[in-house]
Amino acid sequence: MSRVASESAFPAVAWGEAVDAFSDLGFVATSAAGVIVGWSAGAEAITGIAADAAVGHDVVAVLALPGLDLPSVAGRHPPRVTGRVELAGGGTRLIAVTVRATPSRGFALRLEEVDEPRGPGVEGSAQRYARAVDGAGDGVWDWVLATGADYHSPRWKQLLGFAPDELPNHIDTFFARLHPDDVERARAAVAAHFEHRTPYDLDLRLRTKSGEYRWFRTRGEAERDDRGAPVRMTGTMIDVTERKLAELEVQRTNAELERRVKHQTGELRRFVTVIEASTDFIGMADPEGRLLYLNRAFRDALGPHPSNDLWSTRVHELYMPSMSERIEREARPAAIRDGHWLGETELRRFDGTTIPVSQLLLAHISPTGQVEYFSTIMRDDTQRRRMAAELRLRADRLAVAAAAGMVGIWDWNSGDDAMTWDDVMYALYGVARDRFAATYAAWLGTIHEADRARVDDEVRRALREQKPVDTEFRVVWPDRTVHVIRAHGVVHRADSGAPQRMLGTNWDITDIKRAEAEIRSLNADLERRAAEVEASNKELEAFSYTVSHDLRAPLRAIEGYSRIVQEDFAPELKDELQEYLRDIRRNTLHMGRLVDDLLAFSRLGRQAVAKQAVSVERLVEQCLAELRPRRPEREVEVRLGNLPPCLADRTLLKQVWFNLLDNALKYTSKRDRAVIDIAGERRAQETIYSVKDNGVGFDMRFAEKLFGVFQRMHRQEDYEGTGVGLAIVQRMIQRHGGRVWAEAQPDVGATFYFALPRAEHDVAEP
Amino acid sequence: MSLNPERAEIVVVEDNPDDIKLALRAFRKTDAAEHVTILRDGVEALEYLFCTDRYAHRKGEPPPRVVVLDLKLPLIDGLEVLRRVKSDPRTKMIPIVVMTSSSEAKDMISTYTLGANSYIQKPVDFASFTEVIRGISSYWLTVNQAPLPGG
Repeated sequence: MSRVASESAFPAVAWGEAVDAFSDLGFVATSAAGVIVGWSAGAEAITGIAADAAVGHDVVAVLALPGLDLPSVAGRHPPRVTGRVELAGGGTRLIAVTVRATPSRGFALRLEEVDEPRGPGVEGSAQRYARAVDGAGDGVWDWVLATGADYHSPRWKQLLGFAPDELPNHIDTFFARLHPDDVERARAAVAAHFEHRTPYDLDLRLRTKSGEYRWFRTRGEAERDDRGAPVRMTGTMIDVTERKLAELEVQRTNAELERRVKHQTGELRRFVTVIEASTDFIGMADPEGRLLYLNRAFRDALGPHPSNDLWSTRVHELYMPSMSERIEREARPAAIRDGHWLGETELRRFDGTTIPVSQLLLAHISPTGQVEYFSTIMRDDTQRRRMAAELRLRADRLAVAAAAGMVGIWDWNSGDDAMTWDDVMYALYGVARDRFAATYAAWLGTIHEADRARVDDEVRRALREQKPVDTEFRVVWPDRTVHVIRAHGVVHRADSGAPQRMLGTNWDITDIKRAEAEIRSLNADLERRAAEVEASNKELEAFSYTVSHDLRAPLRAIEGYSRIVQEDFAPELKDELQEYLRDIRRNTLHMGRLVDDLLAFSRLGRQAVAKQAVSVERLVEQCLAELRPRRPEREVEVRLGNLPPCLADRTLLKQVWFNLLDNALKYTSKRDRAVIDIAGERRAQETIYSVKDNGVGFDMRFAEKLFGVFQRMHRQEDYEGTGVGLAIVQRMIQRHGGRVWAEAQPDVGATFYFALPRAEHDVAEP
Repeated sequence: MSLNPERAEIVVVEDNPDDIKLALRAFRKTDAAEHVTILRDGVEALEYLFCTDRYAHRKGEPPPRVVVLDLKLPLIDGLEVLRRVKSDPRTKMIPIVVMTSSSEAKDMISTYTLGANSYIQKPVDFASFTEVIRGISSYWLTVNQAPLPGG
């Protein structure tokens, strides 16, 4: 049914018939101007336009496809346009028109139906086939099983880089170029299609003309005989190398990703195991302070949650309020700004106690600058801080000790003879750093000539015998002053045992030496003086003995003879003579008392003070009991106040009270009614006692004479006495380490005070 | 008060003539005056009490009833006399009253330690002195029970 414009012979008819044989491909031939000269049956079938209506007309007008300008379409690649044609029976059909210029300057057009854009659903075999031949990019093949003939369209060959006549149309051509690894797969697919009608659609590699393999997707459908046996198979092929490579790349990437995910999952698990096992406290929280994670050490450190709801805890509850405030103010901003913050903080346990920690706070920031979460690592710092404090204290102590003790430290390497001194050493030797050669010889040179050989010897012996050296020597400063140094050193040895270095200390003992010398001289002095004192004590004793013995004898004689005269010759004596004899005897007796008192006073200086707890109250009562009978006629009111006990020599203290009370009674003798107040008062350091009388008193201008030996404030005829009583009182109080004083007013009275130092602890009643 | 004149003997060892004179006057006021023997120094005292040398003739005679001994004596002092008398079994029974001017505690302690029977400080006041002498003679010659001679 095709018409060919030329009235040619049979071959033309045959060619026409051949073209018409493909009802699903339309072939059109035009003149150079585009006038249709041939219109195949296939063209009629595809477009629904009869040959009569087409031939002789402009193809552009007939097909009415936009963009169908023959020369321009033929000149581009691919030389094809797609568009819709109106069907006679209504509706449209999507067709593709491929245009090629012919040698006779006409044009050849091929028309193909194109699949409509498909919706979901199963693709039918006809459609599939139609799609198989779709597009000028597809190569077409047609394999006759009986002969092995296998038509390969020029496009098929072109896909492999061959010209249409370069490859034989035989099935062997296909298998020859098939990648060895794909042969089996291809055979199996064909067999499956034949036997089980499994769709034949697979990707294969074929060797191109250049020798490289490219990927092709091939699809085909078998034609079968009446019995269903395949006789022929037709299909298309398209180059999918790029897609395949992309696919393969995707597969490879996926495999890699999978491997990585697997690996990372494992790694993550290992990380968590490590973090859980860590003794550091590790935790994470979101920016709102909700806990995301706490490792085991952290959970253990916090202790049991009071309401068993650990994860309700907010970050701020992990600190004391002030610390939480500091984290908020200082740590968080720094972590956000710098990514991390490191500081010393305190973790608050649920029971309220705290643990000092060093804390690292990390902020995890998203690419958009948002804080995603915070993580923290804390280390229990209790031990470290304690040790640090201890170390600081030790270092301080050492520094203080070294500074206070002016201890210089030296180090001498006997190998290269280098001596290293600290600043104190230079101060001890009075030399400037740049004036000292810092060698052993230079050091020896500073030592006093008289000591040098000995010290050199001691150092050498220390090195030889591996013993520490501890010695003293004099050094002579550049200003010629001499200073005494105490030196100590230890020997450090190399593994070979050969002495390598000595190190040690120096300090200045000049002052100590001077003080020692002074002490020695003072001691000698003291010993000498003690001997002198002892000698003079002995002399004094001898003197006292003589006084007491020899001075009293003549007094006794004078008194005795006066008395005998008075007794034996009374009738013969004038009254006046009697009177004089009485005066002689009175004076003699008075002198006897003076001698006795003087002796008692001198004995006091020599007598040891044996302190013991004394009840002053009882002592005073005893004294009063002994004193009262001496003045039985007197009216005396004694008022006893508080009298705390004290620590004193009982005998001596009794003498003090006796003398003071005796005085009070004596100097109130001219009062009709004597009043004596006795009191005591405990102070922090001493106990003060007082005896107050309403007696004759004395003029305070003479108060300093009061306690002198033989010092009297009153005339003998008014108040008898030797003037030794208060001197004895003062002596005794002084020997107790106390003090005594008096206040008085003439004709009003006197108050005597004495104070005794208190012992470390209060004295109990004995 | 009955005294056996043969046995009632008081020995006073004293070198100070005034004290001797005053003592004898004081003894005269007692019944014992005629039995008082005065010895002038330590050596004489020892010879008398041990019946040697100048007093060898006293051998076999009874010892004095009491010895009034001063400490400050020529040649041998009172403490030495006391020590020798009290450390000898033949004489240690003899009562010895030390009467001295000294009021030194040291003297008093040594005296008693050596075995003296009494210690009296000579009072300056003669009236008191007389009383003391009277007391001594009445106590040692009358009140005190003397041991048997040699016993």
